[in-house]
Amino acid sequence: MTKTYWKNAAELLVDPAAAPARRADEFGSDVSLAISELRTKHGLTNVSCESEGNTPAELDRMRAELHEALPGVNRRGFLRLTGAAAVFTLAACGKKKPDTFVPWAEQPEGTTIGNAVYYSSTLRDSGQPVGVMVKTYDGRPIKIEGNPDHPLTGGGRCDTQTQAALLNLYDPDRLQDGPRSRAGDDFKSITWDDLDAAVGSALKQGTVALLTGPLDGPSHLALVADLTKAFPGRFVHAVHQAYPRAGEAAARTLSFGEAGLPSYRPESADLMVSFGDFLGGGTTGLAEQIGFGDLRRLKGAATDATSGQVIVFEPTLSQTGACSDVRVRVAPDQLALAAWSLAELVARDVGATLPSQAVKALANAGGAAQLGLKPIANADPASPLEYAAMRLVAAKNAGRHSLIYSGGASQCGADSVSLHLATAFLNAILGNDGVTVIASPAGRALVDNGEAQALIERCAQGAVDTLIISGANPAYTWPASVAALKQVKTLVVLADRIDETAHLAHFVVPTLHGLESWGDAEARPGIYSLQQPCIPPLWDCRAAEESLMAFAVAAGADAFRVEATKPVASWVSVVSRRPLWQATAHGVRSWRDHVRTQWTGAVRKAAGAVADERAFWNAALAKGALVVPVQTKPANYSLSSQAQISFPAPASGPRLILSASRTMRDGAWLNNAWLQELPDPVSKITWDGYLAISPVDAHAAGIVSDDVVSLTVNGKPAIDVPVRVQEGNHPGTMELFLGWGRARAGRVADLTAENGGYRVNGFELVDQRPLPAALDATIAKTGARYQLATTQGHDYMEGRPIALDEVLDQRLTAAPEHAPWKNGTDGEAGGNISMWGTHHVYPGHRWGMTVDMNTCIGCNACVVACNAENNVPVVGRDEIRNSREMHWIRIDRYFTGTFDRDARGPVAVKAKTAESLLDVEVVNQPVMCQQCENAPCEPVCPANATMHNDEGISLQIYNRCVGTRYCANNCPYKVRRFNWYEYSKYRAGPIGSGSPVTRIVTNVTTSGATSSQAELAHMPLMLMLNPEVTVRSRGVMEKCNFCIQRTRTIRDREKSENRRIPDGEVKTACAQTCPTRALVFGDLSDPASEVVTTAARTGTAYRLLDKELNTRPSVAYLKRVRNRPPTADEASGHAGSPDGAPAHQSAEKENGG
Amino acid sequence: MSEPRIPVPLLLLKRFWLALTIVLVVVGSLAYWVKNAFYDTGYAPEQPIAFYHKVHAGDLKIDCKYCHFNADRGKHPGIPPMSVCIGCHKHVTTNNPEYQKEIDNLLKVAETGSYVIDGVNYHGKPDGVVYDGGVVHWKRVHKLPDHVYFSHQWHVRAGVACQTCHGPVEQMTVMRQFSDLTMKWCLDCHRKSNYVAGRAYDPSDPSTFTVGTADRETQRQRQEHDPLVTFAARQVSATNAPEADHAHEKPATPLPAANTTTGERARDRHLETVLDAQTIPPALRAAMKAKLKDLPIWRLADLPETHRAYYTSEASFQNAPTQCNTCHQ
Repeated sequence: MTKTYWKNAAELLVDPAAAPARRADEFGSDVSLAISELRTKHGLTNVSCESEGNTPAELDRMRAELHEALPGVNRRGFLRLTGAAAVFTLAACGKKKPDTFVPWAEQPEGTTIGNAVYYSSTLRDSGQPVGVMVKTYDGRPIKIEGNPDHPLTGGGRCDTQTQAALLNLYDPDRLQDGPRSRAGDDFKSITWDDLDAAVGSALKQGTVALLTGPLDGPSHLALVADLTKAFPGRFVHAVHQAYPRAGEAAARTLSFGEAGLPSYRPESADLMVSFGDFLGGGTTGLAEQIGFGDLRRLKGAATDATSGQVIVFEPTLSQTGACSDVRVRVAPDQLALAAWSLAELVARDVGATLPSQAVKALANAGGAAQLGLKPIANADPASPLEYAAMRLVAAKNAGRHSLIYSGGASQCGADSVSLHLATAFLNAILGNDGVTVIASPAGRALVDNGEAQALIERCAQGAVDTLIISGANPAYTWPASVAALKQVKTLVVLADRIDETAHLAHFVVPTLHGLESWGDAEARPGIYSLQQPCIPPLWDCRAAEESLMAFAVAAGADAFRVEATKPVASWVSVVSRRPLWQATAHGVRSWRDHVRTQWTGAVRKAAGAVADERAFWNAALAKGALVVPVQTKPANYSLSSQAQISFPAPASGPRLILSASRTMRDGAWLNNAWLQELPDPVSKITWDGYLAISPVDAHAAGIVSDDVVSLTVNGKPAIDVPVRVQEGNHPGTMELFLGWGRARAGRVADLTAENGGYRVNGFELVDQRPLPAALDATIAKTGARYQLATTQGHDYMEGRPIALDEVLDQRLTAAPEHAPWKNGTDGEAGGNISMWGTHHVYPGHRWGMTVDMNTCIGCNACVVACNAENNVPVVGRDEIRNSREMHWIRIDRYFTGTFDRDARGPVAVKAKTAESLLDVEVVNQPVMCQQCENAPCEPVCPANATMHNDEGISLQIYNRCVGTRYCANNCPYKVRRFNWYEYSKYRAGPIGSGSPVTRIVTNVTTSGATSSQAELAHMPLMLMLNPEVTVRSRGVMEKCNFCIQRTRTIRDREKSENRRIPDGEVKTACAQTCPTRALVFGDLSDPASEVVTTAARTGTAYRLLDKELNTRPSVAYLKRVRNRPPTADEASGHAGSPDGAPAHQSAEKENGG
Repeated sequence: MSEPRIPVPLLLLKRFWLALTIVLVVVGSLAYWVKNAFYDTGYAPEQPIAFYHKVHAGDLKIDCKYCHFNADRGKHPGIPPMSVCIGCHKHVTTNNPEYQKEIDNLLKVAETGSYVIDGVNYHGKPDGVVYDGGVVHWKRVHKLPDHVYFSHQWHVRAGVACQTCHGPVEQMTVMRQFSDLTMKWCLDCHRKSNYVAGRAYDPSDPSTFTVGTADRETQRQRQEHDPLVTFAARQVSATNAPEADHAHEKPATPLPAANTTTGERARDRHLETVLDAQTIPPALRAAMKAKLKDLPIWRLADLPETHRAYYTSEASFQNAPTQCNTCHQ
């Protein structure tokens, strides 16, 4: 049994014994021969030159000798010639094409052409309000960043989905030319005035219902209140969410006697015990991720450093499970039993009384013995529940706090209330309530509390005359409601595209994107943020709120009526050339005025601001966020007698869990190509939904990854779905991800069904809402195969020590093994003969990064941020299958576990392998270009297209690149990306129009001109490009350059401000957005910079393959430190190396060889 | 006895001189082709409105930065906003019918977004060209590759005259590309003037040359601390500026502020006037100048009351460094 690291199951089949032989052959036999001759000649036994007493002059001589001795032709000279010939030939084909300048009509005062303008705003694209800072060039938003003034962004951080919201703004599939009304099976265009008149007349009598997504913020709440008044006695408002937090809310009410929705603050906890997916469950967001990072971060210095602990009980490997210290597999139906068993143990130790319902239920269920949990190795106590209880009680006794969490998409229903009651009880008796769990008072936000079900029932009975749906897509997230929606006399859908729900509507009203619209939000009680448009509406659309007000005015309501003013004829729709609809010109209160009234009125009063209205409004717009202290009174735990605690009987057959997709969440943004191409944090699968099954089940059924199975859920037609054999999944548990398989999301989403793909819509499998925790389901092999596109089937570790982890207790006894960066001038101190003769000199900045694998949660926000900042194209599923992904930064996910070598074999064949895959640990490792000092890519370039600059950045000069791909071959980190096609062109054009080549030809021939409105309608994505970054073309190598456009800006600022820009003011896009601060960017030549101190503080830093290859990267990695008892292997020091040998020994052996 | 037949192409190759000629021709034409493909010197596209730099910069001696006011502030010089054109031309007409036709076209674009002359538009079609936003869509003349990081700001502030790179624009009726804008061309100049050449730059050893050093001390020494003193006057006279005569090759001695008329930056002169007018202690004066430097160059309030009527809100040119002699020639 030895500790092993692997990326995917196939890698386990690689014979470890052959790895050293493969490595020895790495440079070719002739090179090896020359090196060994040199060694023999000079009597070198070891690479450590200092110990041999060699002077630098001798080293130079040896280097020259080695150079002479190397056989072969002058490859570089030859390639230079051929490369040059190629570039001349290609360049000669071009002819200068006229380019167009479009100047300002009137340049706004204070702006400078070429300088970005930032707006603070709020976006809800991740399902929760996030304060953002939007970077705009020439009026075009090109990048979304966290608003540093917003208290919930951790100083300007941003989550994955909010980063990707930029692409939604420029989505060509948005409705572009005004409202539609139903004409038979299809729609016809109508004018806004006709629409308002038609809907207004429908609203004049009968029941009016409004179905929305969750709403918060004073303006939205006031609007709903005004609408309720406008239709007295006949107005209903309900909220529909795919993943409502109904279970959590119900348990809160039962436990504390008052309504409220908990929000979680892991940053205040020392220990977290989670029964659900805290990070990727679909109901938490950026603030929770930031807090989780703070919990996981190593605190303190050197060997005294310690970190919070995360213990996860879960049936399938989740994002939280991947980031946990102790992961305990539990069957999905037994989560509540496990939670109450833990509660029983904790209550015993802290002297609390277990509720009588729980006592009874536990007795009925037979207690914790029924769970059959696998003991924790070397732990005392070994039982996971007792271990967790011991840790929780110890934290409480030490005066610290913990956090018990349950929730997420699969735990939102009534059948999870028992589980949520247990977490509420635990949090209460451990004193966490009010510290790490804070309940929002009811009424500050409108959420799905079950009224939507009642509304849909009324619709089914034909009792609703007019239904307006805005910000929700029930026809997709709740297919059972379609029949009811069809019973409505007038169905008005406000949406940005003709989606599943809008397809059923009588009137479709195009809405604005969040970046085009006003609004506000109250993310947590008292934390207000303002939303302002950062670009005029691109298309002929209007804000959903303005549509609602216009309908009310047309229906005769006076509340929203204002005196009509002359329209401002400056904003025109790009496509229709018609002036955009303006509210005040039609006698309707504008949404902006509504928001402004609320802020200068109620919010200003609540904030106690002394400034006048105008000053307050301007300050609020500039800052974007406002905090008003909210008094919350402490809640007392008293479990209601109505609370019922019950545990489901153990399942007899396989159980299916429906989880939120970790990239798509509820599927609202399935048309977002950035998110589609984002690898799932756990499985690393892109572009498709899939069914994750346990290795043990796969072995039993003879199923392997990429098999297509037919999935049958009770009473529903079977669906075909591709399978991924997921390490860590509990036997008998299958997991299907929701958010995929939409029929009408747009052209990008339709790619899912192309090429024999599968539209897997998990929402169709169950009618009940909220979704149940687990379902009975069966699978059968269909015999078909479908290759899921994954980013981790290639680039194996080859047994090298790349991703390292260690155990906290062990680390405390061992001296730090790896020094952080060496000084830039100690050329030979690494102990290897370097092929570089000169030392690197960094007269000014030297940029570097520290990557903390301990806090990385694998969320991929860095990847999307990089895509947006660096114009990284989307390449599509087929190209990912060819291992041609273009992401400049990737997050490698390694599994590790003690693994029986003799049991190595395909999962489908060897039962022992399958069992070994059940309890795995994960290391998330973000990898970008390491900006090596001795970069292996640089000397092999025949065209000198990649070179080093004096700030330590390995540059890539696109115009010199002739595409030999030698650099990619020679890069040990596999971070170089090659443009196999003109991705930039086919990214801009209609996607899904045939092969890449056809698409490029079509785009080039049909869209040659610039800045015509017809072209903009088809290629609005061009507007999104960052003008500071070159758009690469075919045949060019590209890679991360530490956002050189940003570090260059700092030079300009240093010049003009005549000061050194302090640490932290310049950040790469990935480091800027990272929610958990796992990526730290800064200046290595500044000893006080965060990047240096972070790496030096904990003594866990190492540089990838530096010992082996002497590449001297500018990126330091902090090991993943596991806060758990060491296993027997780890305790005896035989861990840490992929090949089973101790890490430092194997590394030295390679150096010597 | 028949001789072995040799295919015709090989037979030709046997004749050395013929082969050599072919090779030379091919290489020669390829070289010519390559040169044309790489260098755009002389590129002068027809513009939708025939704007005469010769009239504005040459005859009327309007400062380059009056219209291209972005040049000393940002990376891009900026194509002037339409408001700058209209700001003058709603008042300024000309007796030359050829010029007046272009001015009329300009006004038509501003009003309607299109124009038609003699029954056809600029593209030779009968309908008007629609210009989004009522602005002229100019054809771009100078274009650096995407990957080049070039900032106008630092070159202008360092005193490099516009003509150094753009040639005698004040003599050009049609704007054309003057320099080839190759990397060699950049380096030639940087080597000569040693502007950004690194701490260890030794002119006798080209290998020590580095572009874009991060040595702050070197940068700071070269930085223009007081633009009033070091800004070089622009050569605008049409008679004494032949094409080959680059302004930077005969470095202009800094002119005393009082003597500078045409080339001085409006903001600085404005500040100078304001600060001179009152007797302010030197220390406070320096502090005020530093503070005022970041203010927008030109504000409505700076104008005499009689002039304000000209600058209505619909066509103000508040960003342009208007000087008195811009209008009062």
